[in-house]
Amino acid sequence: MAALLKTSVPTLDEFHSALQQYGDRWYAVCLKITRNPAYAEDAVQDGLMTAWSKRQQFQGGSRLDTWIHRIVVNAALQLIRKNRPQVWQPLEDDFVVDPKTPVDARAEQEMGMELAAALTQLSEFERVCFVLKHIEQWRLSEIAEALETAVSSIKQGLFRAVRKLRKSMAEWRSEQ
Amino acid sequence: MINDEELLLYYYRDGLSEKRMAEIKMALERDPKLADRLLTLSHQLDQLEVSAELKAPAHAMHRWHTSLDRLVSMEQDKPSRFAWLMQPFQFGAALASAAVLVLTLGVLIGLNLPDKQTTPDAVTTPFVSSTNSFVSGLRVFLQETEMQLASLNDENPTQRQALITEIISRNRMYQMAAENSSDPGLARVLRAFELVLMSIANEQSSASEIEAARMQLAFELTVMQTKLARATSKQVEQL
Repeated sequence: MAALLKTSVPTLDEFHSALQQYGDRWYAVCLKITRNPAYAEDAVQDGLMTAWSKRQQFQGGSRLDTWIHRIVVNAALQLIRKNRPQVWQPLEDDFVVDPKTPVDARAEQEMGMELAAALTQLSEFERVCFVLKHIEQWRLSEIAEALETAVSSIKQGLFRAVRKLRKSMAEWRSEQ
Repeated sequence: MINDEELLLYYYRDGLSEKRMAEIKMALERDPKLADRLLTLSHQLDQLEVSAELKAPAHAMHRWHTSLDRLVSMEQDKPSRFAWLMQPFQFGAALASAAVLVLTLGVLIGLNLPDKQTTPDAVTTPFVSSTNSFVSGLRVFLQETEMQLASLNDENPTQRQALITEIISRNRMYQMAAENSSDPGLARVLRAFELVLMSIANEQSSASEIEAARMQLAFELTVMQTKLARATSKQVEQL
């Protein structure tokens, strides 16, 4: 891990090494954000390409894998925005994605039933707010900036996400 | 009164003013019920972090490594070995622009062609038919490319390079058309095809590398054609 602490422009070998070690993690977060394995694969690819082309901007002293991770997450957000531009419109227009498409079923299989099933209860906006805050531990202000919306909207999305998740997790537990 | 939303923000240590954070902290020390509520919330949220260890599919991991290598190879090759490709690109770009113009005109003409009195579907039909003309053109291109790649080994190096140049030019035409028609997914796939085509054309690629790239492209072309066929049949069903 220490080997990934960089002080100069990262090399191709270092990119390959980071991908080998952390590719699964990048894919996992992209899958949680997009809930679509094909999009998740594309997001990692787009992020990697972007990271490579911007490698001169990499700040020495930080970890290459976390730098790429951030770029990959942004690639996933961009992919959603391009493919489903309506999802981050004002909250009153926010919608819950049809919870069971074949693609979702595959995502569920890959992600682990419990969390994936719970995430299907969320709208795209709520899910992205939750994943970025709870799993990626971004600041609310960073999420707002990435989604080009107000912090108050992010808070509302997060509140609703947690409310729904707590409810569905409680139901899931009572069924066991 | 401290509600669950404020407790959530307190849990994340984010989104509350310092003053409010201090007030909640004091309230938690004084009120065991409130402390219990935070504990329950924390416990539930912690459970949501536990998920199965996810592994990226092997084919995806392979694709990412390969794409990185190709990108680097392209960067290195651009000024020298691919000069032949970049020069014709100016011509190719002009050709592609012309083709996009023709396609756009095709769409516009397509929009005006149908008999507006016929059915209530008159508004949707022209769009579908113009889209279909693009899709059918793309399908023909993909089929031809697949056949040309199959006979690639029979060509001498000069012929092979000429053939790949032509395929890349045509590929760029569809890529630009896809970008112009706001289909980033398709444009991205076609960009990926170009990277493989370039590695086939790369003079420094070994015979086995060329063959591997050719096989990969043949496979991806087949997948692409299947997807297009499926998309077209879905459109027909919807009509």
